[in-house]
Amino acid sequence: MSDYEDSEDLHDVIRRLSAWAAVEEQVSSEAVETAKMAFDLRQVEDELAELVHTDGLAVRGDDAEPTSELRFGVQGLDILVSLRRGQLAVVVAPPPDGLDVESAGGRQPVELDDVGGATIAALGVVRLRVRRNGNPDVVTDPFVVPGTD
Amino acid sequence: MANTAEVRDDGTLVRAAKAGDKGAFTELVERHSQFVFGNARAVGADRTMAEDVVQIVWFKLASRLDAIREPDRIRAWLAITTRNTARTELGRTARTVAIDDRIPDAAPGPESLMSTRIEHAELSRCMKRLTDQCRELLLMRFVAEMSLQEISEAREMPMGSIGPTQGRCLKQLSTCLSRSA
Repeated sequence: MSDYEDSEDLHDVIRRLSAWAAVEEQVSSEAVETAKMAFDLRQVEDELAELVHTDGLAVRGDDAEPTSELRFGVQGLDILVSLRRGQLAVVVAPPPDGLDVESAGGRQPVELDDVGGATIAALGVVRLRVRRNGNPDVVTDPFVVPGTD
Repeated sequence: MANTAEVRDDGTLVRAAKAGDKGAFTELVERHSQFVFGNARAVGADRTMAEDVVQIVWFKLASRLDAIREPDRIRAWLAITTRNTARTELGRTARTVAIDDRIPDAAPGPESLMSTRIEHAELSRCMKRLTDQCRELLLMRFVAEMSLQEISEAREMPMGSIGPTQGRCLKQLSTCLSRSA
């Protein structure tokens, strides 16, 4: 063991670092309380759609709004999500029987167009639930819809 | 009166949550959210992103409870899932977090707390100046409160090298703090 490893100085810096972490680096109680609600959205028969592709921020269209794209997949189903600030656009192929947006606050049904698409106002951590008659629901991994800076 | 409240271990809580016990899931969230948050911070997430990651990880666990094969090792699952999730979020959002933004300066407070605030601001500044490896290690140790064994698994480092590395990192931090004293 080096002299430093047993020194007063080392004990002092550990004490100061611990005190700093205890005050400045604590997870908020709001985040913990919201996380607890995840259990309410659990359905044991759900099938999980994994994230299979992701694109970082890119500038698309004339409005130069940064967009991020995610693609989720499970056998026979593709879910393409395009994220903008406070909003997500989704296309599900083939078009499902129903779609919900789920967050810690609950479940919000979404009206889909003829080709399985919709644009939805959302914020924070959400996931999508795809309903298919006669089959288990498919849920995506959760993802973050960004807010304004 | 004797305290008869039973403290359930992690494995028991995971098995109970699998069986539908919401209270067990709540207890896991309360017990390990700081650990999840600290791991997200250690890989470079800013505070806002780290709190998003906390939610994502618990969502994932709620959905995957039936697939957890080693309930007694749930902290290892949480560490890996958190670090992967945080890295995905960092890459996807390209919320390029300058090193200076990862650790916010301590906020000013009432006069009675000023010396503590000054000390914490100094510590925040010195943490930013550490190497990435040291910053990650110290955040894992002191914010996520991980054991040396857990750090060894998460970083795929030999157990025996973590103690000495931590010693060197603490010395770097101490040197920075003494310069600014």
